[in-house]
Amino acid sequence: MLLWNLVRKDLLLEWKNKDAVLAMTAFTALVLLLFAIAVESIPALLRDIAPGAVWITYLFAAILGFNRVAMVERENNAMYTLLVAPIDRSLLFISKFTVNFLLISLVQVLSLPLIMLFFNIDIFLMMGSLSWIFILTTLGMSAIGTLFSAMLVNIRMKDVLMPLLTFPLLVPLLIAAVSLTRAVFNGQELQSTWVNLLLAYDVIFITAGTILYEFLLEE
Amino acid sequence: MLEIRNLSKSFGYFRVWDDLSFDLDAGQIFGLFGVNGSGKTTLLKTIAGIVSPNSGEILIHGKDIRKVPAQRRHIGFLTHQSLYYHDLSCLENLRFTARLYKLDVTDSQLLERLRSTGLEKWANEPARYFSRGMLQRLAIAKSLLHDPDLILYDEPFTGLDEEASQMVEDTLREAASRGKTVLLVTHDLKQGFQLSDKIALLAGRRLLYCDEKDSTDFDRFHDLFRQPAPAQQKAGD
Repeated sequence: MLLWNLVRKDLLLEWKNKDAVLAMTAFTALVLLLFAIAVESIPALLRDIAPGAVWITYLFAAILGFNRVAMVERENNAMYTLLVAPIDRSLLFISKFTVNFLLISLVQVLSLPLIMLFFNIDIFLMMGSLSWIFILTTLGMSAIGTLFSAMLVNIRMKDVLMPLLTFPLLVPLLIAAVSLTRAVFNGQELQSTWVNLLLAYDVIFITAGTILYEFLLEE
Repeated sequence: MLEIRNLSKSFGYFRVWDDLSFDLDAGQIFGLFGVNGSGKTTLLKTIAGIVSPNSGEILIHGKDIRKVPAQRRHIGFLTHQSLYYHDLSCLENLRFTARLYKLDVTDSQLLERLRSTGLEKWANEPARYFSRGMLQRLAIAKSLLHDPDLILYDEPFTGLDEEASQMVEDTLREAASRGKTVLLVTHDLKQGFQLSDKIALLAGRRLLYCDEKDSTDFDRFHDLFRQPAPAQQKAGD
């Protein structure tokens, strides 16, 4: 109930100003379009680069969202309202993580027709396997992004530091996501190694965020 | 009601205060004074659980708030910043706070709270359009929504007109008469002195003075306030 109250507040704020979703969706559409135009003259290449193009685009779009979701609490020091309240502070991580996950997932869903259009892939026929890859990867991305955006929210150069600090951690996650997505696009079996890597990332960073978030918030 | 035991805080090498100890009883208004940078706001934030102390204990009703986070339920906190979500309306800000404290209140009860602070006409307006004084009224309504036993107010009169300022004074006096404890920080020495039952002066990393108001008069306290504070020292000195 309390968790839903925290999530609902962030979703209500996003519904009212649409800052994060608009920026993330516009960015995703433009970058996917640019990738498609870049290899338009070699149609055979389109399908090969699609998994990498899609996940690189989602990664950069997610970074835009992470900073925005964290900033909501810093404007007018609204975070103090949460810190003074008698709530378990790990709930604050879980709520921000949930909001980041929902926003990235929304952008992913909105971008599916574009992937189909630009890369000529009938993505809706593959949704069974793809949805699991999207969910597992986005869980890990959201956990890492939520943790680091809380760490950097008061720092002047947060927009520069966010990708610098998170990308090295996100690379293995994205390699796994790209490999699995390519396998689905090519109608191949999913390798359990990559699935296990995604699962391990999710467990490690969701647990780390739940434990460490409190210490990142205190002054 | 509130017991501060050997509380110390440093930011890096800068020691804010050292080994602070004092008690506050229920129904007391405690005026905390000190020049800029003496650590008043940091002390309030530490008691509220926003800043973590390096050592010491903060007991509310005998329980350490660091060990029992549920004790924060007894705290009502206000700073010179208004702590609101500017895209939410006045009513939505209050509704969110009420849910944080698991209060069973209806919108009409929340509107009644807004009426007492003169904001009912703007209940559904986004807080981003509010003036400084209106935001401060909203912050006051939020801080008292859960009827806290310990009211921590840092510069509550900032941006308020005479009428609103009187309303805050009346609210604090009424809360104290109901057994609530008020810890008040203000730069207006005269207003704070008049309002308080117990006064303290924070200077040179310690409480230079802490006693019942009756034990001194305003002029003597004012002279003490104007004395230069002992020099700040670095941690480890």
